[in-house]
Amino acid sequence: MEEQHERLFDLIESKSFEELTSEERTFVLNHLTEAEYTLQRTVISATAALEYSSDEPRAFSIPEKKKSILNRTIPLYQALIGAACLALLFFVVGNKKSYSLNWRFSEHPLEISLANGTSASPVKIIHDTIVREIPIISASKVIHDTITVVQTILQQPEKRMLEVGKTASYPELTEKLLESKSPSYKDDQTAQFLPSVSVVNTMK
Amino acid sequence: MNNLHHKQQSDEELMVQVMGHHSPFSTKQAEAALVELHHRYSRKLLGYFIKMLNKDVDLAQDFVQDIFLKLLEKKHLFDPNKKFYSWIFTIASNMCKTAYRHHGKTVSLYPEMNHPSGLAENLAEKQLFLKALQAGIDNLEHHHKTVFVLRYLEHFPLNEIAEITESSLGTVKSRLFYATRKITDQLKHFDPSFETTLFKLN
Repeated sequence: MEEQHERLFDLIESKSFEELTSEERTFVLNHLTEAEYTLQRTVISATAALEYSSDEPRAFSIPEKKKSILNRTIPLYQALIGAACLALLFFVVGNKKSYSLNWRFSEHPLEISLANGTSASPVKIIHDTIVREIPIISASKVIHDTITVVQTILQQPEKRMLEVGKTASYPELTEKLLESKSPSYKDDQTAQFLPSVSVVNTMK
Repeated sequence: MNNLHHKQQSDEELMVQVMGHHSPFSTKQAEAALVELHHRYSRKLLGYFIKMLNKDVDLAQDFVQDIFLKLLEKKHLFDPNKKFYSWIFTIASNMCKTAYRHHGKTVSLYPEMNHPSGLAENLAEKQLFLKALQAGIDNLEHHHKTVFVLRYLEHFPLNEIAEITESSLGTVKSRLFYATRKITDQLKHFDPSFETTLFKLN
């Protein structure tokens, strides 16, 4: 419908009814009578003859309170909204960081090997303490947590090999080592504060 | 010196100075640029407002003052790559729309239709016709009136009317057809042969 009105407008602005082709005339007569078409053209041409006041505009002066606007590039409220949005964005991004776990192991993992030199049996490495770092700006609540991670590896570590038969030598138990240099239990004055127990020397 | 300099500048260059954030223009320069824009456009805007506000000259004068203050407040919304006059007429059109919403359609009294008889009284008939035409324009819906005034009283090209009214070219043409038809409906009792006798259309 709008397209038909567009075409009618184009014809009314450009051609009198007599100048229309037969096809155009048929199209126009489907919507308007010849008198209406002519009168619409008359309205357009007569509009130019309308008279309006030709008053001079008043002199322009900027009120004092409005002059300060000339120094501003954007209204103050928009600057404030912008700053608030920026702060909100910073807060949201800062908070997001606190949710990302930052894995740091407090010490080197303990490596255990059952090796006798050539065995490649699986070895477990147990990571112990985990420190989770939280950004300072969101440190209203700090949570310390300990997570144990068990990781299985197939290759033997090269360090700290504990081989059978090559362990450190321990001193033999002798009478001298068992000899007590402190007062006996029954002679010890602090023993009266302890519950009544019997002590048996099983080494003898 | 500054005034002479301003007169040589385009509307858009002056508006950039009013905006004042592309280079370190002083407040006085910005004010002078605004005064120059007022000098260029106040008369045209006054004419537009008088036509849109049913010949209320005092209100139209107030609107001209207001539009330049609005221009100052909304200066950050101006796109220097677009035409200044399209932008200022968009603001003017929106101001009229607001006034239309607040005050409603102004009811104009139709002129007495005591038609003189015969073509011999053509001149008197013409005056009556023009009064009725004026009343017809005044009583149009705001969106129809805007395009009609811009096209047939302010002589804007169709594409610029589309830009000012923020609508498509097709919509502008369609509204113009509706507006003309609505006015014509109120003038049916006049002789359509006026076109050939009193008004000439190019």
